[in-house]
Amino acid sequence: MKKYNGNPEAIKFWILLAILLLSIAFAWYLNSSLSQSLSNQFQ
Amino acid sequence: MSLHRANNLLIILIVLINCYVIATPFFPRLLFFVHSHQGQAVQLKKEVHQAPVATAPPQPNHVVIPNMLLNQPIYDGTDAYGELAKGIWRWPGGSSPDKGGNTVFLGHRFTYTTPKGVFYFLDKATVGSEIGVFWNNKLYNYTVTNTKVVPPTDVSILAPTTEPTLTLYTCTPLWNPESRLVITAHLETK
Repeated sequence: MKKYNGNPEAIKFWILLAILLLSIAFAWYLNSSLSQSLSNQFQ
Repeated sequence: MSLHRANNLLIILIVLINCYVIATPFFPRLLFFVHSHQGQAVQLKKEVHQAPVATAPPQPNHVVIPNMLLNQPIYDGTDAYGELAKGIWRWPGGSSPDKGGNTVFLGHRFTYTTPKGVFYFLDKATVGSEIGVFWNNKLYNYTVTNTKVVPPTDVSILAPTTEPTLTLYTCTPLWNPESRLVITAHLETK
């Protein structure tokens, strides 16, 4: 098996960045789903 | 900026965003607890029995529901998303308090943007609760006669009525708004 010799701080950075983007996307999704659902009574 | 410092910053941002998402829905309950201990319900109960003075400057149309510590303006318009983002929206397909029939008000239960759900506590408006609607500088007193949960496809709640009726509705349950909580109230005095 090939041993990975990359910079652990760089790997951590990309993982944290992905978690941050996912958190923002989730918050965005929650807000839009809650605010748009009410108006569908007339559609 | 070193990677180590950037990672620490990212961790702080992740924690802050997630704390906001988790804690924000509970803020209205905290505010409700604080305001109810400050006697705001008593103050609002007085307000729903005080008709506007004819000589006073005209007030904007608004709704007062003491049980849910609500005192909010009513917005008119045809842009559902835009008006709901401001607060309580009077459905233009319905009536208005001065015309009798079915007046329909709707509002968000909860959103992360302002206002944070004007009808968050609509479930506290139980049968017998008082509602005061200040419409064109005149007070209309309603009493809640029925509460029910209907699916979003049930448009019967918007149907015209012969009696002067006030219908308020919002999403329910709070976290998974798959149904509508509907409050029906009838006019007491005109």
